Amino acid sequence: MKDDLAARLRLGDLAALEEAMDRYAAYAAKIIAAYLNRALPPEDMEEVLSDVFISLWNSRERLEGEVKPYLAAIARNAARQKLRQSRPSEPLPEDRELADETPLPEQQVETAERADALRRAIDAMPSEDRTLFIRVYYLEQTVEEIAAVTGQNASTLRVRLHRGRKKLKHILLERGVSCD
Amino acid sequence: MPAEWELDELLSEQPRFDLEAVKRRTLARMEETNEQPVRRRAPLRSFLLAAVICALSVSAVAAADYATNGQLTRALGIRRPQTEAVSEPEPTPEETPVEEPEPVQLQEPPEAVPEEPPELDEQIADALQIDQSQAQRLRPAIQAVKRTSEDRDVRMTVLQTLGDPACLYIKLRFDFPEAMPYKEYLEFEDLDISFVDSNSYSWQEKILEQDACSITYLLSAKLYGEKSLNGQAVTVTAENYGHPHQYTADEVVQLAGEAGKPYTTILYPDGTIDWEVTEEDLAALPPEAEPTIIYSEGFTISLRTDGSKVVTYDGEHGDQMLTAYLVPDFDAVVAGKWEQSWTLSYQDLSLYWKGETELFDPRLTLTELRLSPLSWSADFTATEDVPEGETLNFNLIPKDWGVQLRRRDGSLTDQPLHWSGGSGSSPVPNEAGLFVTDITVGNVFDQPIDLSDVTAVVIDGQEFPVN
Repeated sequence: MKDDLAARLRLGDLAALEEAMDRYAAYAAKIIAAYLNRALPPEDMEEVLSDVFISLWNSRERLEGEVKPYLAAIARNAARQKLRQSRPSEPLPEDRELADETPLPEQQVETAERADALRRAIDAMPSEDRTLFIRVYYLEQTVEEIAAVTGQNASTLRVRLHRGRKKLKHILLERGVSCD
Repeated sequence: MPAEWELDELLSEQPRFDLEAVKRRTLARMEETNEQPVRRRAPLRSFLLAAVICALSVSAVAAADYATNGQLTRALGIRRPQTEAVSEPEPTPEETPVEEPEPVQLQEPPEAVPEEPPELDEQIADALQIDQSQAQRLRPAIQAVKRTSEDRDVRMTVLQTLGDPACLYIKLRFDFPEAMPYKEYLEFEDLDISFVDSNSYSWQEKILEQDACSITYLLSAKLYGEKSLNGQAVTVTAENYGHPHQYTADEVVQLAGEAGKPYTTILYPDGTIDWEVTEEDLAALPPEAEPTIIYSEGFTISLRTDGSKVVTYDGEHGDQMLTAYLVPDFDAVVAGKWEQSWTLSYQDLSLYWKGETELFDPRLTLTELRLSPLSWSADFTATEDVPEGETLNFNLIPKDWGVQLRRRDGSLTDQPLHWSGGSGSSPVPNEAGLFVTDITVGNVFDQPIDLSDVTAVVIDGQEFPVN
């Protein structure tokens, strides 16, 4: 049976919101913890998760497609805001809205194919590069943020990212992923 | 979006929270504020596509941006476009083009096939924690290469390889004619391994030794689901020895634009920035203005007669800020290119099992198991009956296998086979309408294992004899 969670959320079904929390709270918590590279006290994590699901509810009318990727983007931005709160003096990206837009349905087929190819390519990378790419491209952390939360040197991260992008490009092109 | 296991790789411990507390808090806050749905424009974070864009060319940027209705490039957001420059930066008017000498490959005369395989290099043995007895057993898998390439008086030498059908270690050394400055921060902008006959692999490097006059690397490559590395031609390439550029404020510029229009910003000589560039501003650009710097794909920087710069990011984007870096992100201390190619030739020390056995899931069939001292791999066929073309394939395989090795004396030793990568064919329907995918998964051992008396591999309670 096709999942109708997104449709029920759009209709304003509170039970759907609760179901979304049951399904994806743990996943959202992992994104937040991974972004911050530290374990939040349970109460703090519950506060951030509450922010995430309130944003999901408030933006439900824009929700198209699957709930999980949409929620992942919200969780990521919530983590970024949490990071800004803990490091007010450091230059971090400008404030962003918690809720994101997802691709239009007619774009999702092509997007899904590219995403699948990209995932396999990233999975094929060495573990150090892979974790860096997960942070940069899935969690959308800047090099400075990654350096701040992991203690690694920003210059070293940039070189690894520079080389990693070439590796990724090679893997994708060799697998026939092209946008030409 | 990241998979659960990818996030687990980043986590030292699982996050703790009370789901019921989250629900109570969320519903209570909603009741307090009675928040209405807020229609706010929000940036799209198509990070997966952004990662693709990071890896692809200018035309790929434009095509992917079109495919995502402009959302993709908005996702590039505050960071510089993560695209690799396809074209080399054009020289500024002050620069005089210098004819670059071709890098010299100093070829050693073809070596006669040695009767005895070479000894394992000590640095490789130390790096992989290989003891003397293991080193002796690995000798047939070693190839002495001893090929050199020279450019800018810097010599690259490929010394030795150690490999199996899917895994390859290469010891590589660079010698500089004089002491390099800032040695602790120097490395190669590009350091690549490529195989002529393979298109699914990953590689990484480790510095074995570095001083003011030399640097020695251990390169490692892992092949996924392809034919054996042995017998393939491999090329190692290195470019530009230096360090990441430390940006100053005047080398970074923020671009702002209007939805559906290119980002355009004017930087004035006094440091002020005009973000509200009009069509009239652009039309007033002197005809003699030419692009002076092309750094990132899609960016054009033009000089006006008053000395100000017009920075334009081509293509349609949303109304988000975009960061442009006006100079390359790497400073080369020695700008050069070194390349060496040779054919891999060594003995395969792997043990194999081949057959057809259901494993982990009724939809999954193990067809081959390969176990070498350096790495392991497993070939599966996933046969699924799924609606709308969805397939689970890789997700049918556990990420952590409980594996044991059967010894000749009958004992079992634990050997975790956590897989770190794999490849798969596109699922195609068979005569019964089921979707079939060929999958190969595997991993390289952090430290080579001893297979001297292994007779079988035990996985999920099933025994697979290997020979």
